[in-house]
Amino acid sequence: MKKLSEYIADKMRIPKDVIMDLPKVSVCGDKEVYIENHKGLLGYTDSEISVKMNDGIMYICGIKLRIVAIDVGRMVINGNFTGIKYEKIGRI
Amino acid sequence: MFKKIFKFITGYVIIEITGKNKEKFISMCLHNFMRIDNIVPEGDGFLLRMEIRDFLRIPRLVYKCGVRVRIISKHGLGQWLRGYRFRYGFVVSGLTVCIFFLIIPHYIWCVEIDGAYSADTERITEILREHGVYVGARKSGIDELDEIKTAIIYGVDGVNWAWLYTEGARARLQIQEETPKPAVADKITPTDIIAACDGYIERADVLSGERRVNKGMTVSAGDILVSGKMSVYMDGYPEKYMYVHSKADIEAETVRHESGIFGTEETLRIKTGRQKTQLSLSLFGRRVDLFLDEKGGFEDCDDVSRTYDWNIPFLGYSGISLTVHKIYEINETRHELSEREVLNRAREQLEERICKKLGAGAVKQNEQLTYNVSGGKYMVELRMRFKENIGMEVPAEE
Repeated sequence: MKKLSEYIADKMRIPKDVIMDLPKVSVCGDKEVYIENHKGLLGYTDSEISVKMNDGIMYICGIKLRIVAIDVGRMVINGNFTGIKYEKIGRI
Repeated sequence: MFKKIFKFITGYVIIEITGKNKEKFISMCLHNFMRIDNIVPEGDGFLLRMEIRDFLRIPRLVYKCGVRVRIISKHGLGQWLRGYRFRYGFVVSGLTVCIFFLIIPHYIWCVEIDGAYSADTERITEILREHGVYVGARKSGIDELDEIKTAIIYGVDGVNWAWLYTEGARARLQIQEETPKPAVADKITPTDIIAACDGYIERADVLSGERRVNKGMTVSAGDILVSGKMSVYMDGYPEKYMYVHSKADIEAETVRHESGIFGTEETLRIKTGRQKTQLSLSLFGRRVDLFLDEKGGFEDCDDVSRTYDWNIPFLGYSGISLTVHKIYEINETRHELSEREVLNRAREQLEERICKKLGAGAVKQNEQLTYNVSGGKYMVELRMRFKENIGMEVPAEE
């Protein structure tokens, strides 16, 4: 069943990340990842970063990963990425 | 860039976080709106950068998360100044320099007079001094600019307008000199028209005045061509005269000639390629040379100077200038000119002399160059034939 906010977003053609607080991930090649609407940091090593999202966990794998900037709901990660995985585990 | 400057001013610390819940600590920092960046994994923990004001707020979070925090380094303006707090000499010199540069623009260190070609500059300097404008004077002691302007206009002959500009530590007086009046300024004064040079009259159109010449006549310099004194006849009455402002267009064929003696040797000043740079400072109106020999050790040299003024932002000229003198070594050599070169140069010089004396609307008809050689020197004469207006206005004869 669709949520009310999702239904409104569909009907009014408003971006879902704005109205539903969904995470938004922008990837520039294999050098930079820009994450919006994250809910915090779960794990951080120079080969893997796990970021808590609204309804799951995002794993960013790579080499020499580094969090350049972090803010409430915004994160910029630099490094050489090998993979990005999104694990949906319901509301955590 | 501004962000970096702002960060430097507010100050920041680089800290190391170790312990079990270090990620939780970062998340809690974010939820408490603390600014952290440059998080780098290092060994068992992270290195991160945090503003000093946020760093003072973290003890509660450290206790909650059970992490250990260690300061790696401190940065920022406050930290930088703290490093110099016991260096009294440095602090005193810094303050002295600041005070010095805040004070000196309030004084005049250089007085310049622009636009004075024939005006008496000594008198102008004297008037400026009377009104508080001199090297070393306080800017606040300068009289009203209108007063200075009036004093210069009425106190110095030949000055039409003056204004004093203060640019930092420099006072610049801009003056406008009077333009010399023409011999006959108005169109009412009775005038004659005379011949400016010898010539053969080609055309004489007289608009006012009594005609004295006609086409085909030959006139000499100074002859009256049109007279402003006109006789009036009436039968039975004595002869009377009326005076008018003569107006005419007298075109004549003229021959002008100039001669001179020209040698066959020419001195060439050639740069040898060796050059030196010398500096001189201008400190508050006094020149200080930073060199001993003006010629830079060269026997013969040419000097090209360039001055750089030191301007303080928002305050203007600081009273300090640096002059860079480029000194080029010169080698003088004598060069023997060919006959053609001598005659070409002679023609150029003589033509220039003739053209400076020409009347209005002169058109060259032809020219003739004659010369003879005696004792290695050339006696050259240039004759040029023109069509020109030879009329010249002079006050009318009584």
